[in-house]
Amino acid sequence: MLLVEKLGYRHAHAANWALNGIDLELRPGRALLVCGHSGSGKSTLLSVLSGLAPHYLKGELRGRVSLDGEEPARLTLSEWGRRAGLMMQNPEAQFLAASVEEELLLTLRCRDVPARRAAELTADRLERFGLEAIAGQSVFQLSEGQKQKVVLAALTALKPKMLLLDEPSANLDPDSMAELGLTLAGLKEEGLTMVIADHRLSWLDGLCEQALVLENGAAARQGGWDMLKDPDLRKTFALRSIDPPARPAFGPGGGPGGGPGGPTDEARDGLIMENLSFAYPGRPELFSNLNGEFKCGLVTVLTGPSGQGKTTLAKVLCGLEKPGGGRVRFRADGGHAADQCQVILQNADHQLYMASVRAEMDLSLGVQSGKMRKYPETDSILADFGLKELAERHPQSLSGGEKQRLTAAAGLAAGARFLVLDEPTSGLDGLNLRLMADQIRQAAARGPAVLVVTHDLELAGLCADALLTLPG
Amino acid sequence: MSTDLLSSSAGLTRLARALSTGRGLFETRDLVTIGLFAGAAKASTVILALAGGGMNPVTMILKSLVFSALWVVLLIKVPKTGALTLANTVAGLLGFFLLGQAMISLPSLIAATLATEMLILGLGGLKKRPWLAAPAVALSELAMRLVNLFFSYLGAREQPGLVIMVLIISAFSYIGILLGLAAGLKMARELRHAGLIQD
Amino acid sequence: MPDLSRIRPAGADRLGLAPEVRLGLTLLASLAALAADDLWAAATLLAASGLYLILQARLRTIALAYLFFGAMAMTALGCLWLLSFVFPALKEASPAAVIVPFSRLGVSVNMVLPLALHASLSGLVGTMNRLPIPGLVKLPMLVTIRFIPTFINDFSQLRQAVRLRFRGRAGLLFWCRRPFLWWRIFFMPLVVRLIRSADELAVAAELKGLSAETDFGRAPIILKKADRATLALGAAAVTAASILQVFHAAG
Repeated sequence: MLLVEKLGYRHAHAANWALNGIDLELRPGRALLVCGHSGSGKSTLLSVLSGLAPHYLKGELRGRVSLDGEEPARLTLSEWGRRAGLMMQNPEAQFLAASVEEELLLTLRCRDVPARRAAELTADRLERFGLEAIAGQSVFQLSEGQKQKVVLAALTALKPKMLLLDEPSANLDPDSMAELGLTLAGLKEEGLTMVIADHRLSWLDGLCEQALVLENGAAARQGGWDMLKDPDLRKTFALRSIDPPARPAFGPGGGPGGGPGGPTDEARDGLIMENLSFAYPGRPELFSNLNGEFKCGLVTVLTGPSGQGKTTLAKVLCGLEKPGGGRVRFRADGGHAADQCQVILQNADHQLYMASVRAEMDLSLGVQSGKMRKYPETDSILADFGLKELAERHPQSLSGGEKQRLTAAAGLAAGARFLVLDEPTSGLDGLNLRLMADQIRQAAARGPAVLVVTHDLELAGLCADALLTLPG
Repeated sequence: MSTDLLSSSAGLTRLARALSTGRGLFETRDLVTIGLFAGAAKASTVILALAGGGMNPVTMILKSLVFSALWVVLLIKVPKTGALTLANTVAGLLGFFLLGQAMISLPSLIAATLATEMLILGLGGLKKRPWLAAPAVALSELAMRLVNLFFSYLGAREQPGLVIMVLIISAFSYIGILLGLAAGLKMARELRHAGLIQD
Repeated sequence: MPDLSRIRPAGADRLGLAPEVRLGLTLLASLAALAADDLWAAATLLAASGLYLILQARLRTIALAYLFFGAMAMTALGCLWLLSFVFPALKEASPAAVIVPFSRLGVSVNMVLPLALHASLSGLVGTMNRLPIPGLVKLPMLVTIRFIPTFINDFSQLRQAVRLRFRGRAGLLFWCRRPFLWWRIFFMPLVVRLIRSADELAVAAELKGLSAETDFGRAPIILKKADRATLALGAAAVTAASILQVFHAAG
């Protein structure tokens, strides 16, 4: 049984406690959902339960955590890791080997399992998780769902007592989420205790019996799953819906404002794709003869299962990949999107270059006008995107959401007519999801055609003028 | 006498184990960071050589610039004696295994770096004086170039004039090393400001 | 994500030698070439290593490599010729004094090319498991091999991000006047990703229990018939060169 008593944790050099006075009791074979708005302490709680804090993250711990009487504080991180396995938000970051089979073998060898036994256990896990067909494949080529399966296979090989999952649904499409739910249900039946921190709730209905809502590092609410059915509670703590989101309903044209396939609006400029086809060398066509128009001032949401070419279509539209056939142009002047396009990537680390938020904006305005200097309009643009208070901060020290806003602001300042956002809401709570939807709509209102590539149907429901799904 | 022998042999075993695992000197996170920087340094030089042609002076300077800037950032992130030697060993072994580079000179190159680190330790060490990262890289790269020149001389001892080309290449790439030191120190300061390198 | 197997360069490998055999032979040949200063001994090593190369690389690849090293050799000779105006003694060198150093370069090219052509990051893990490498070095090497594809992917993402943000904006002159801006734009995000990746992988390694003390065991080196035959022929060539060096040089 997992017992947490009066748990508190303070990060090294921090003044405030990131976790404060948390009590928990979780019986074997049961699952607990930990939710709350971004920064409420979910990941910190998982760090403590996994032993990372304070073994690795040297902070101050008070209170007690125990699993069947054993405490992480009294064991080494490696010893505790045999009892409690952590799956991180980005499973790829956990891989230390190149192929699926090697990853499982390496994990076992690190735990001093003899070579022959490690090989037997690896074969068993490959079969149990249906990974035999991809055993020799590079871990970098797997889908997000497959990567999670490899991590789970490695974590469960030595029969731990508890699994900890940090934002497991953040990068999954609805089908993969359902599959992950089934996998976890199977592991629960084997007696594993689970603690799952996540913002997306609907897929956890039926999997988690208990829920803990965190606020400012403390347990704001704690109880059974049904507690989350209260809409006031969800609103108070910025939680997402517990019902599976429906695809936004549009008329037969596809979208109210006229995205691809939507009603036409001749007065409005737009980015047109004509008979667009694409295939990677030596592989079947990802899409062919796509036609449609991304209207300026409107938001088109591109959704659908993973692997169907959503990101590739966005790259083709922006000129990063050359289409096999067809063309892309602005209707008004026939201009290419390539020179007038900005993409806001899910991980904005690659898109921030300067030493301060202000300098980042000045760079965008500078390359637009050809002169590097301090621009007076920087402040007003930063204010529009809620970044004025952060003007002197280093861009790489911002949170994920703040970085995305800065990249969008910089892209628009650089004169983008076509704006693409790639999975802008992965890892966002309900409040920030709604804020992001508002900002996407505001960005579209400034003039560019906006394309949002996402699995998140809640986001689509909040901001889409038109919906585009690639044919399977 | 026999007890002394036994205890000294046990001590030697412990020392050998400590040297082979780095216990007490490096934590796993240090070794991971060293490995990543070594990989990045090697990959960047290969990418730059492929992009600009290995033998043009601009590429040579740029390659060394990137290399030494990365090394300075590494030493400020992992300010431990032995970090530079280990990083050079890993980068050297990668070149050795994948490209057959420095087959004969590798042990001397490692020894040259270790000697530099001992000197830096004598000057107070990287923990006390992080700016020593720059002289550490400058000196170790100079020592390594001298070792390389010696082996080039051995290879062309019948006609030492042929070594002049190696000398020119070494000089160009060392200009890049010196430029990279300043870039590395500036970058480390900024990374600290961004919270990516902690004290 | 890049495919590790795509990092492996293609080559016509008729022998299929174990990497350890290639490494051992290259080391042996390099040492022998360095020691030999007799013209016939050097020629023997050059011929044997040339045969070794022909059996493991396409002719086109060999021609390209020799073209490149030929250009280097010509540049070195050009430098020598210029120097001879300052130091006239350089003009009086015997042909052997010029040929022997270049034969050493030739042996080096012949031996290193197969190694580089047939080495791969994924194969390196196996090589490391068969060689006595201390944990202190093995762990960072393992991490390096795991990380290089991620780094290459980061680099290509950065290239795309830079193209999207700056393509078609400002002129060439704007960029030429600001080399430091280029440095910032290309290098800073890469170093940031490097540090973040280091932190993430360190957490993964700690959770797995991976450390310099992890005992991976040693896989045995298994030599096939071709490995043994090549080793024997290599040893014979070095022995022949040594005999020529000792007796012909003395004679």
